[in-house]
Formats: sequence, C-alpha cells, structure tokens
Amino acid sequence: MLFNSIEFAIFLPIVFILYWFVANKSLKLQNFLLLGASYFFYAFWDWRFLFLLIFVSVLSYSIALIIQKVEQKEQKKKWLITGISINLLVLAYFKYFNFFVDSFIDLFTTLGISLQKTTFEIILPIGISFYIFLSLSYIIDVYWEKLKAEKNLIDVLLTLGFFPILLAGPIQRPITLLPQIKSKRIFHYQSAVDGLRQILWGLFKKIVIADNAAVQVNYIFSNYESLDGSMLLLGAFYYAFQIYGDFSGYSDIAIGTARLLGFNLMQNFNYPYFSKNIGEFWKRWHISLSSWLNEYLFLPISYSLARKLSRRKYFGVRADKINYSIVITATFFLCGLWHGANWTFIIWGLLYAFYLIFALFTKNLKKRFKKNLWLDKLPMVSILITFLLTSLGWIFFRADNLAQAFGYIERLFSASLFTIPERSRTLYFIIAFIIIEWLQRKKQHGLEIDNIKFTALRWSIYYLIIFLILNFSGSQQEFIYFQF
Amino acid sequence: MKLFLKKIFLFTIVFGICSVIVGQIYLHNYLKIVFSEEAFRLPENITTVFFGDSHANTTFDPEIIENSFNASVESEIYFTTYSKMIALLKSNPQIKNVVLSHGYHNLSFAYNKDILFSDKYYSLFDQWGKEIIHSAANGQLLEYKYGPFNSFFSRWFAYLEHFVNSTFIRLKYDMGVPVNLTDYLNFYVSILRNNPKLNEFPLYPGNYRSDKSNLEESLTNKFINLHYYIDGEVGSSRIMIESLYRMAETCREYNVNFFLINTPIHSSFKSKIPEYYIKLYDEVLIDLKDKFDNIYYYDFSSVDYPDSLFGDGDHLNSIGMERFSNKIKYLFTE
Repeated sequence: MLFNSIEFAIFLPIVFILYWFVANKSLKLQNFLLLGASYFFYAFWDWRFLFLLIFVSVLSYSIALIIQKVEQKEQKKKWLITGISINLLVLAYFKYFNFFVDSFIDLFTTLGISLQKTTFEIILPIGISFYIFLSLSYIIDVYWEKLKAEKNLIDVLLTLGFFPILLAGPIQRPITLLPQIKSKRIFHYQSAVDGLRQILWGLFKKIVIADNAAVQVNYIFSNYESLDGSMLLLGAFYYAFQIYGDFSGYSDIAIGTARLLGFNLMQNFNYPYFSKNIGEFWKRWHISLSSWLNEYLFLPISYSLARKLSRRKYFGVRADKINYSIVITATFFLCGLWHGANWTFIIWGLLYAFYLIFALFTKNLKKRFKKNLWLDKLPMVSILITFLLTSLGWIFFRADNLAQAFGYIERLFSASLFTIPERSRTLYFIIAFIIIEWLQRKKQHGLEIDNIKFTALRWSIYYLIIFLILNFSGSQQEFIYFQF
Repeated sequence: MKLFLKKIFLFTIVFGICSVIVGQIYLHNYLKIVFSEEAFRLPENITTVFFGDSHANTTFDPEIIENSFNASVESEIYFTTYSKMIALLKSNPQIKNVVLSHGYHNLSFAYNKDILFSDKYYSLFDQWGKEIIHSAANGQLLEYKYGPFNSFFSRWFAYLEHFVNSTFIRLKYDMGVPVNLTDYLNFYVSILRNNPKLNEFPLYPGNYRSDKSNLEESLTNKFINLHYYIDGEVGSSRIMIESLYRMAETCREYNVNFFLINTPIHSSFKSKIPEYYIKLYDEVLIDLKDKFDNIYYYDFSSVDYPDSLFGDGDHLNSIGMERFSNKIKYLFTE
C-alpha cells in the first residue's frame, strides 16, 4: 500500500479510530491492533511475503531469547553468528542472488571461461533490507546487553513490522522502539497536529517535488546521448531533488503517521543539501541508516582493526588514517550494496568513501586554503560544492548501468555545459522548495509552523499545500526506496 | 482528542465549502465553453463527418474529401463515439452523412477496459452512458480496468476505488465540486493565454499518423493481441455492440445516412484476426441492415494495396490515406 494512495487514505483513519477509541483501554489490544494493521498493510502488496517477515521476526525473537539465556560467552557468540547468518542469507538470496551469479559469470567470461547463465526470477520482497536491518540490530543489541530480549512475541513482531517504518524506514532500532511499544501511549494534541502537518509536507515533497522531477529525470536520463551538458547538469539536479523529495517525503509521512499513534520516531533527514561537507551530509542524509552502519559496522571493524595495527605509522602514513580509510571503504562498499544489487550502487558508495578519505588526507591543506580564500566566511560556497559532489554521486545511483553513468558524466562535462538549458515548471517548484527548507532548516520539518499563532493564516498555508498537491501532482511513481 | 477531531472536522468543512464554490464557478464556465453547442458547431459547408478511432484517423482525409470533417480520435471506443455523435448532430443540422470506421476489433471485449476511463465525455453521455460509468455492479468492467482480481482484497478494493471514482465524477459534473483541480487550473490558464489546447475539447481531431511503413510481424502480433485478446481469450463487448445500434438509431432520428466502412488492412494482418470476430461482425451487420434502412456498408479490408501504403498492419500511412481518400471521395455525394 502506497502512502500516497487512496487505500492508505482510507486505511489510516480506520486504524486511528480503532486505535484510540476501541483499543485504547488496553495496551495489549492496541499493540495487537497495530500488528494486525501492519500485517494487513504489508500483505496488501503481496501476502505471500508476509510469511517471510513473520519468519525473520520469530527467528530474531527466538535467537535473542537464547542469547540471553545461555551463559557461556562462546555459546552466546555462536547463536549471534547463527542469527546474523540466517538474516543475511535471507537478504542475500532475495536481493543479491542474481547479482552474484551475473557478476561471477562476467568475471569468468573476462578470464576466457564461458559459463551458462542460470538466473531465477526472484521477486524482491518489499522493505526486506529495512526489516532485516532491524532484526540484526535487535539480535546484536541483545548480545551486547544493551537491550533485554523481549519475552512477549507480539511486541517483537510489532517492533520489526510496525507499518509506518516497515517498507522504507526510518530504521528505528528496537532499542528505541521497543520501550515505546511496551509503554502506554497518550494522545498529545500538539504532537498529533504536527504529525498531520508532517504527513502533509511529506506528501508535498513526494507528489509535487519528486514525482514532477521524476518526469524530467526519466526524459533526461533516457535521452542523455542527444542532450546538452547543461541539460544533463539540470538532470542531475532534478534527480538530487527527486530522490530527496521521494525518500524524505516517505520518512515524513512515516514519522507523522507514527506521531498520530503516539510514537516518536527518529528524524531521518536533517536538510542534507545544506551540509558544508560530505561528512556532515552523511550525518543529515538517511540518518537512521548512517547511524546503523556506524554503530554495527564502522565502529566494531574500526576497533578491531585498531587493535591489529600496532605501529604508529605505516609507509609514512599514520595508522589511524589507514584504519579510517580501510573501514570507511568497507562501510561505504556495503552501504552501496545495501541499496541494490548493481555495480552502480557500489560505485556510488565507493565514491563517498573516496570523498571522505580525500577530505581526511587534505584536511590541513583545506584549512589553509579556506582561510586564505576566506571561504570559511562564505558557507554557501561549501554548501554548493558539497551539493555538486553529491549530485555527481547521484548520477551513478540513478543510471541503469555503469556505461550509462560514465557516458552521462562524459557528455555532461562537454562544451555544451555552457549553454542555457530548457527550464520547466518543476525547476521553479524546486527553487521555491529550497527557499522554504532554508527558512525552516532549524525545524524538524518544513511545515512546522506552530509559531504562527494566527489560525486563519496557518490554515491558508495548509489549503495552499493541498491545492498544490491536487493541482501539480506529477505522474504517480512508487517510492524509490521501496526497491531497497 | 475531542479538540483534535473538532478541528479536523472544521478544516474539512471549510475545505468542502470553498471547493463547492470554486467548483460551481468552474463548472459554469468550463462546461459552458467546452461542452456547449457552440463548441460542436461545424462550418455550414460540412455535410459529411467521419467518426471512429485511429482507423478513421488514418483513412479519411478531409482535405481531399470535400465538405467533410474528421472527428475521429485514436483509441476512441464506440461507447464514446455514440455520445459525441449525438452532440454533433444536434449542433449541425446540415450534416447528411455520418461515416464510422467499422473494423472487426470495434466489437471486441478488449476495449471494455476503456469504458471506465471515458469520464472526460461524461457531460455528453445520456442516461444509459452515465449508468454504465457508475455501475460497479458490472464486475467484469472493473476487472478489465483494474486487471484480474487475484484476491478478495484486490476485488473489493477495485470496487471501492470505482465507487470513489464514480462519486468523484458525480461530484465534479453533477454537483460542481472541484475534485480534480489540475484540469481546471490548466484549462483556465490556457483560456487566459487565449490558447486552449485542442485536446481539451471533445472535437479534438486525433493525430495518429504515420509516414513510414512497418509491417514487422512482431508489431502485427502486438496489435492483434491488443485488439482481440485478453489472456489468450476472445470475446465480444455487449456495450460496444449496443453503442453501434444506438448510433444507427440516432442517425435515423436525425435523418442522416449512416456509412459503416471497414477500412483497409494488410492481408498479413487480416489473416490473423480470429474467426470468432469475423463471424460476430457479419452477424451484427446483417441484423443492423435488417433493422435500419439508412445504413450503407463498404468493406475495404481486403483492398489490394502495396505494402508501402500501410503504416502498419492495420493502418494506412499518409500516402495510403491520400490514395484511399481519392478513391472514395465521391462515395458520399453519390
């Protein structure tokens, strides 16, 4: 069920009413209702894969209990590895099987060995990367004793299958979601109203910004060979806002929906295109994923490697810099792979690793350079450079294959880059959107306008946004992050 | 919670009232302009009007056939053509000949899916047409539109979505609530710019044309599938057949000649048309001729034209159109 569909517009009020008026007397009943609604929401796409979700959830529930129960550390570790392996195998089978088969065949073909291609039509279960990450997070946190294994199965099933975050995040880790599920929710008027505002803003971002940008992007990426460089630059710009509008719009709707039900989810996007460097960008973009990767991948590998790097310097380079370079490359390689079984995503991830390593090694030089050119007094320049570097990455992310990505970039940096591109209505929407986001950048979301005390004005803004959504919707697209 | 619900209710009510006001203004103007009798008025010298889908679009050239107007639009189904025909005949008493492209595919159930997409012409529909648009009881129509119902939920959501759409159409056209502001806004902008787009009008002349010739088998198979099969099955459309009879009846009422023309198709295409449709077509035609004395039927589906005159297996290209129009240009004056 899409958030921007009639079905969801019917589904949500029904759940809201049942949740607050029928099941409000009992926490158990509320959780049971939410679980039923979540599974209905998921089954609406394809009921067969509901069993996979239940399997993964029950597995995590059981393994977490076992990890907590067994006393020997070795035994705990064995169960942890079992849990992680099964989760990753499920993910690998559904998401990466054909990719690995294809890549191996290509590798052998390059070596002159011809292999017969046998790939299966494996349907990618929607949201699998998200709930597998939640499941991993739950098992690892129990192993690390940050979280106690939950005995109530319904609570665990709900933690891993809560419908607002089920399909595309935020990856709200059980350590913060489970306590909310276990405690009584109280209806807060302000929170609910702001939740509705956030839903409205999310719909605007998705329907007006992302869906309109998608029309331009599809055209430009399909015809890049015959378009001017300036148009391709505009295409990369449009895509940057398509993916941002799409994904952060989804997150806003998810967070707003959860707030209506009395839950507080983490902020997933914090105006990422206003970042002044790539490191900051990753602290503001898909925060739930970057913090997950930091917690469960970057830091553990980094600590482990630090113990192995006993010398202070290697080849004249400080050991901590080598450590960082290796670990950040591994993390972004996996980050790219998490996004999809395609080399374009992997290159996209590695490009960020390159940006960050380059930034590390040129830190002192950059400081001097900035100071001398008084760039530190002009944050806009840093923001623009960061945005351009990010947009370059998005070209790989959007391209169907590496040949298209490189072809696109090659044509972009041609003499025709200095021509005037064709502008569309979408461009003006995006410019207006950037201005609003800039003005609201200290707030949780772009429509957090409770400081406007005059009701008629606030309502007029809501009506205006509804009007824009109804009038200027692009052709309906699925949320991009569903495929991940 | 009470305050929250109260505010939501109030917000919706204000939105509803504003919408109705804007909607009434819109309907008054939009319908007045787009669906007025004036919008359907043709020049006084037009005595022959061509109707139909892409087949009529690529066959009859009004620049060659004197005093004619081609009102056909690609993919237009008989259900829509019927309503358009009434509007045109009402506004143009000078019309003497109505010419309808009548191919084997026009009676196929494969086009039923388009019936529930015909709301653009809702204002033109008579009671019968409106009932069909709103009738969700005809589950088959919904299945054509939404695809096969694989589960209980998909069936009921299709019904629900149809109910919502149907309500929206009633709200929009019967009550004047602006449910699709995009249409209105774009229309007003175009009026302000003094440049309404042609396709906003029901008499928008289609532009399905081809200068090339592509008789590849894959393309032929694609069109054969599109016209005649749903999941490998063949079947007739009760609504399209009913529309055809209603068109004949309308022509009789207005005392005009009703020409049915089976337009030229390539032999390789014709050989692939399922026998079922040819039989159905003949049966319907015999019955029509029995019931109406104002019908003239011409079958050009086996005309022996070279490949270079076909745009694809079942359409002429612009050279073929010119040749064919010259061939039949006196047909309607004799």
